[in-house]
Amino acid sequence: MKLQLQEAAAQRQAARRAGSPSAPRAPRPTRPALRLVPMQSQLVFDTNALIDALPLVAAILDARRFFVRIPLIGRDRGRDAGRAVHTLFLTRLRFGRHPSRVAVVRELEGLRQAPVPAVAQCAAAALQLLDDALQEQHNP
Amino acid sequence: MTSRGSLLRTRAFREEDAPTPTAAVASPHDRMLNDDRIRNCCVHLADGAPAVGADGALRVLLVSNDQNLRVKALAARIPAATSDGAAQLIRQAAAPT
Repeated sequence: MKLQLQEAAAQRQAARRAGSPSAPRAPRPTRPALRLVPMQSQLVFDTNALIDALPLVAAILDARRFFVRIPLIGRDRGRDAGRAVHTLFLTRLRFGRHPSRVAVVRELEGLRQAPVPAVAQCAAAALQLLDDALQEQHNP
Repeated sequence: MTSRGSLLRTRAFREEDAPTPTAAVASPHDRMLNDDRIRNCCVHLADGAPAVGADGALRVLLVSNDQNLRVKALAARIPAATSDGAAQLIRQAAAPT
């Protein structure tokens, strides 16, 4: 009887040892690496990230490889940052069709003096874009 | 591509404005933060399907430098990355395989 009890205790200890944290775990199945698919993936940009990564967004738009979404650009237009980005995008996407750019240039020049560096850089980039487009038109 | 899924032939700038509940009408529970609007936009774009395919292909990626917003998006099963992370993914997609 005593021997049987000892054997049962030994078996329980062995089972506990097998399930202990020190036992090697089975490898988990690895997840595939995330990847963007051209003409399929949609990138949703937060306004702050958009201002931070403006050259990147411009490159994506020019390459036309991914869809870019900017959810709050209309809502934030009243704020300086939103206005700068809004104006920049209007400039980028519509400057080819605008015969007069005076209003846009005035707004951008005002925004270039903004105390927020990101807004000022954004406006300066948009002005540079306009200058390049004008030079290209005059010297094709 | 429009938010309803139709493909436009040219690049176009489109503006939509969601109605804002006024403070007098809406209770605090009805008020939606801009973060929630962005997250809901991502969920809408995913259109009920998983935002990440079985092979790791991303359908929707939220790019934000706000950690709270990224956590909110991940809770809704929307993958999120910082602008640096997104740039890395774009470089990987552009690199020849």
